[in-house]
Amino acid sequence: MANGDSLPDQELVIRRFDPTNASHFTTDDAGLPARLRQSALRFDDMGGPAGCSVYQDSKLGSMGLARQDCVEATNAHWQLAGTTAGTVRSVKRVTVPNDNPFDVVEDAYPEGLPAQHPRDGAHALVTHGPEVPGSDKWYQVLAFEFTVKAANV
Amino acid sequence: MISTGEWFGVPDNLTASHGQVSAPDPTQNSAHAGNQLAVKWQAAWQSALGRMAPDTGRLNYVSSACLVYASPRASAFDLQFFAEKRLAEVTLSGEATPTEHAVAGLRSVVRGSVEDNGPTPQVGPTQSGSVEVQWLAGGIFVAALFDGDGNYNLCAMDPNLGVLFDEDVPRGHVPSTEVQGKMHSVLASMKSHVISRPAAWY
Repeated sequence: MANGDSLPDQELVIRRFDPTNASHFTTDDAGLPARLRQSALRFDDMGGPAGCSVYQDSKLGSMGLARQDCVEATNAHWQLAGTTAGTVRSVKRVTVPNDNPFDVVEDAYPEGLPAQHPRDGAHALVTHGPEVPGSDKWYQVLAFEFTVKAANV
Repeated sequence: MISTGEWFGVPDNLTASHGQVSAPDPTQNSAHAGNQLAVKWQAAWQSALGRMAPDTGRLNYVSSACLVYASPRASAFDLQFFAEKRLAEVTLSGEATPTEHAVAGLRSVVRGSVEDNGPTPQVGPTQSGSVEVQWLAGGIFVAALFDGDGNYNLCAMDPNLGVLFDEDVPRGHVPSTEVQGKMHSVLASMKSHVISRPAAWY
């Protein structure tokens, strides 16, 4: 798969977040797993389409890495949340006239640089176009689709 | 030598291992009101959290805020205060730079939504720098998101991600009667799911 290609719907994508920052997630008062908030998704414009970094679960496994390897050593307390590429592409907002603006694309990088962590070989991007009408509402529902594994955040 | 447990009014027989809480020995200070209360706190802590083994060392330092965290009980004032605390945190930290209209809208919605022992209004920033408040209990999700111009959106989803309502409200207007009723009934239905409060309550 070349960079920029859409990931298959069933691909599990993982996003890391800070469990000590209450802006990153919403706690379920019933003790069920928390849900991410839009603060935990950062869409950077690196000269191309705005993108939010995630990691592909299947590639991590094939590279001999664990999901926990997505967490940077300097933020070892961070936790992981996940959803599927198909879910990202299918979230809906009935109050926004435009269609779902999101895609999840291959973005493995960098190639062959030894100083980089091998997890970057499983890197992918949640992308959207340059203009997203009702963007906060889209980010809100997108973040909600990322389920946190542990309930105790 | 006096033990830490005795010093804080927690009988030593509560320091049982393997997560089991021993019944207080009636021959050892069981009539002491503080001990009785400590036993109730311990039991509430354990049953409410479930996932945590009793930790009497920690219990000794439990503040009133911690007790609320371990309990579904919180007054409407407590819930509104928590929302204000989080609003202050996200604005003072620079995570959000909400307009006056957005803050006024958020306060109005929170004030009109909180009820004693209801779900926790959890305030956070949006990507555009505004603010939103979310409630989540038993997988039921309710949110109010405020734009800088004072317009806002109310939405809710059931645990299967089915949309219960999703409505834009212009600044200075109130939600439709239908959405007002739905929001009230959804938040009321979430009450029965509440067993604890967010850790940020501390």
